Amino acid sequence: MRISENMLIDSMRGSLAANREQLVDAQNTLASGKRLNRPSDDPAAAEQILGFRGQIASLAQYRRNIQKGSARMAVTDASLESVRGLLQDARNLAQEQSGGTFDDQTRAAALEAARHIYDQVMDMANSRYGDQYLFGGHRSDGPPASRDDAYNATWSGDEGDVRIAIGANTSVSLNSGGRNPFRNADGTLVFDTLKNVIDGLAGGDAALVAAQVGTLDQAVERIKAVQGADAIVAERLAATDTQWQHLQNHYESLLADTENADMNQAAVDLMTRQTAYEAALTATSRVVGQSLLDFLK
Amino acid sequence: MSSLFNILGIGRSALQVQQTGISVTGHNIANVNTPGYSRQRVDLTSGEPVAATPGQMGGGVQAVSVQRMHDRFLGAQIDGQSQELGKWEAEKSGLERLQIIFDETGETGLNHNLQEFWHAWQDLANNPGGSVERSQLVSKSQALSDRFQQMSAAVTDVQSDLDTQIGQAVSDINDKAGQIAALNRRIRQAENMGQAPNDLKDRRDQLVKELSSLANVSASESGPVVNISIDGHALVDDETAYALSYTNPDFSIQTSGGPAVIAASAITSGKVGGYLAAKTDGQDYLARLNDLAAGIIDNVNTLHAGGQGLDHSTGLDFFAAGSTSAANIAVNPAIVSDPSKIAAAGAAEDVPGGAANAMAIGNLEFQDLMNGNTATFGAYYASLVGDVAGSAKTAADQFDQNTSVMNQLESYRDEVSGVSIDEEMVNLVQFQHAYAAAAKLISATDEMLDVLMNMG
Repeated sequence: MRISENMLIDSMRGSLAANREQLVDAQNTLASGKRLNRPSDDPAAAEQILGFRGQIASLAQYRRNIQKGSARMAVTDASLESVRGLLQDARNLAQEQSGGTFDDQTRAAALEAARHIYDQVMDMANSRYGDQYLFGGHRSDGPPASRDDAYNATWSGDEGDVRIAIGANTSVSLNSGGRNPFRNADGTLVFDTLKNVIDGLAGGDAALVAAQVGTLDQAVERIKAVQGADAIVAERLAATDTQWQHLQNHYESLLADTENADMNQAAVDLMTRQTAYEAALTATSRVVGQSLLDFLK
Repeated sequence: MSSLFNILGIGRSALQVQQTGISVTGHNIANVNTPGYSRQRVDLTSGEPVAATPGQMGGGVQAVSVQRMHDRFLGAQIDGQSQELGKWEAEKSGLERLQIIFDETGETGLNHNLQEFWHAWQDLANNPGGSVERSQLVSKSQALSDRFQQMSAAVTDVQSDLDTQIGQAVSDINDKAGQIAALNRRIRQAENMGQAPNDLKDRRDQLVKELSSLANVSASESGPVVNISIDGHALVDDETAYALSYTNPDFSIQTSGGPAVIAASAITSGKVGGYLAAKTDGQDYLARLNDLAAGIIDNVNTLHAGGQGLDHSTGLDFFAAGSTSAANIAVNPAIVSDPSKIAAAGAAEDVPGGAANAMAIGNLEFQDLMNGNTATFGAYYASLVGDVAGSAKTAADQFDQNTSVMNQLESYRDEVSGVSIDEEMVNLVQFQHAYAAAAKLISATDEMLDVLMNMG
């Protein structure tokens, strides 16, 4: 084979450039820690990465939703727990006052206690989480319960269902589908019942007080039921959160596998390519610039 | 018997011919690095013998011609390969620029903006009355719109740069076609005078190769001239070049019967072909980006108009009127100036706690609304990114592969036509010695004549 000057130079130049490019690629991989430095390095992986990142971000968002929902449910549960205790107290008080021991002194004390309970229950009904009123349904911007001086209660909340998204196309209700724990089965408010107790005590009407015991029992049971239903939702939230956490870890490791370089391999590659490049440089420096000219006098 | 003067004649022819040899060697050495140069060789033959006793006596030496060492079939193959290589080189450069726009290997691409947009709706659903959530949503939506607009503008920029590059390539084509036509004339003149126009032919071959790297031209040699045609129209006909021009999106060329149109689809290779291919790809990517933007605009607007804001306003579009594509997507100015108009609540819900609409809009992220209702917005964009990356990779791989084929062909060509310094040095020494010997012959004859003159 006849080797001309250009063939020699071109082949040297070509292999030097190729070696150098490989060396720079290896350096990039090692420096960035990523296998993909341009989408075209691996188009399929570039597409997959977007999917993984999307999944991870969505799961993080669900978990953020769940965190907020769980916090809200915890506050709700604490409020309802107090309400249940207060209503239980009111029921016991009504039971006592409807019995034989009905004298002015105990009645005055009981009236005081009943008024106190009324206001405490109302405070609880106006509990807030952040700037949202918990029991107002969708009218979450103002206190849902209020009363006048004569203990006539007004409920300005609605039965709006408060939901959070916990997955793609999946949401859960945080307030039992808008169910209002302060409303009796017949549509009256628990405050109306308490007002009857107060009115009965104030007017010495033992029969009216006695008539409220049953309703208050029902109210306590109802709050229990709401708490029970909420507990199931809270458990579901916790379980979903754990599940998403697992999935998030899973996607994160998939992402890392797809996107990150095997550092050991990259370091070995760098060494190998460095050696190859040095060898090419040495070979080039030996061969280029030599001709018969060097040996002619 | 030959005369002494005859010997002088032999010496003279030898001196002249060896000098020609040295001159050609020098020319070869001088052009060792000239692209497209073919090494030349002097063809020698012995001079016309003269009749004499005891037999014909040699008449010295003569140089018959100077030949270029050239393989014309290899030349045609290199021209074809130039077209492929030119195409992939141009397509690669165009696609690499497009790929940067769709680069999602970092964590700050359109994908990121899309997620933040959908998640801002979910955050709003968690606290539909919150003013922080509302202004967050507005700013994420603006960021998304800005990103769409930036990407659209960047792709459009690349498209118009590609047009400029096509225009430049076309003027290169015309320049080279003109030079080829001029060389056709000079080569014909030289051949008519019995000269071998080696260097002119090398230059013309090189020009045809360069022209091939620009477009899918076909060249045919006919006698002393090379004719070039593109898509069946003559670009160089004998000694005339016809002007090609780029009339975006197509091309036109002057012919004897007036201007003719060459469809862009007919230019399939060479740099112009590569730029056109990259341009087509860019158009496709832009169209898909626009589809994505339009899908988001339509679906979000439809749901948004059905909900109600904190001020009970309803029927309002979330994206501004006139938002139809990635180029002009923008958030409704009424919402930007008053985020309480964002319709988080469903039509039948109370405000501010109603969040059904915000939740429904946030849920659009997971619905198959693109690509004939088979892909989510995210998946649709991911497949666009995958395609951009795939095309860029194909172009880069093809470029590498065609480069190595080209190198191989060039190497074959150089094996025949390339200059070897070693070889030329040997030739130089050989001619130099012959020249010295011829000079010695003349001086010997001179001495002999001197002896003859001084006889007696």
